[in-house]
Amino acid sequence: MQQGDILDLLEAADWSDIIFRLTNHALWRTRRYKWISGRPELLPGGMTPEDLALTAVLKVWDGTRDWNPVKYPNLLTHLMWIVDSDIDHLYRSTEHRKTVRMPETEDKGEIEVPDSQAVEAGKILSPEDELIAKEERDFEEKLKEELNNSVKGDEDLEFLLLCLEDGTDRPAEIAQITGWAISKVYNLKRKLYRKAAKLGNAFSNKN
Amino acid sequence: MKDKKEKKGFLESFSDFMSDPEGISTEDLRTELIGQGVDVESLEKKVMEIVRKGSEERRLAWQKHAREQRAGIEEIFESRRLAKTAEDIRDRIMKILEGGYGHGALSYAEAYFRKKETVSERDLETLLNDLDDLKLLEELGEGKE
Repeated sequence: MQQGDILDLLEAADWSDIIFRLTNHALWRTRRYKWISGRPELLPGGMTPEDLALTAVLKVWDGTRDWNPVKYPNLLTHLMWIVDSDIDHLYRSTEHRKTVRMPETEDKGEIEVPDSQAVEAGKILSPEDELIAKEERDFEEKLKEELNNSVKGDEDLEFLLLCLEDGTDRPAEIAQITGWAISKVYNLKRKLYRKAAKLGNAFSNKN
Repeated sequence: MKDKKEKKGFLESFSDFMSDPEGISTEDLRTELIGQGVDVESLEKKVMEIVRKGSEERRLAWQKHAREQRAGIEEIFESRRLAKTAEDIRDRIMKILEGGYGHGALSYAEAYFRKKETVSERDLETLLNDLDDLKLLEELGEGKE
């Protein structure tokens, strides 16, 4: 496909729709991680999920992350990959990791120092990674509890959360397992958006 | 239900489900973003600015590329035209030698060749230009293309 044809496709895209979908994607993806700011809307380097979405669009336009419509016909999917990759990069960034707090201990003399070679080989988590993993588990438990409380009494939403807990998150799969029409899954998603919006601080993972 | 080996954690599944905009209308997403404190108007403005600038720059870059390609093609055509001209020169010289352009032209050509040990295409072109200047080809009405 010629550059001129790709340009025509990019110009014809519905960018208002794309930026809303992409920002929503970035907002929920950043909530998956525990950030040092304690707030998923405040990322390392002062970035926000909106910035991530806009940066992804910019990267496609300036050629940093070229879009190949033949290989990847869905432009939004391509942009969502860029956002995911940038979130991952931010999460692994030195700026983020160097500011993670270390566990406090009263008896410093008894700290068990892990074998550095085993840590490097990934067999044992470093104290820093162990702390991050624990904080993430706690955050996940807290969020799950808050969400379950918020949907109490709504059998459909309760069942939807059970599906998610089981690792089933694709609407088509959920529809298949529950026997619901796919449109019902989408309606429940909208309902869950409203419930989640009311939770507000539950997604702020500051201890 | 899911096999334990491929099972995602709750947070990952929840985030994947909520971040997938499939089945949600633009208007619903707009409302959802406003509910989350996003300034949708500013967001829309910013993306349109990126698109406008990006489109302008890419179009310019693409036009530059197209111009370069065209220049390359024209260069090829030009070199072929010269080759054709060289062929034409040879034909015309043959006609002069055969007396096709008259006595004046033939005499001039003979004098020209006497002065040279080897003759290049460039020399032949010069000879034809000289004959044109001397009106020896034009006068006969056969030298003009």
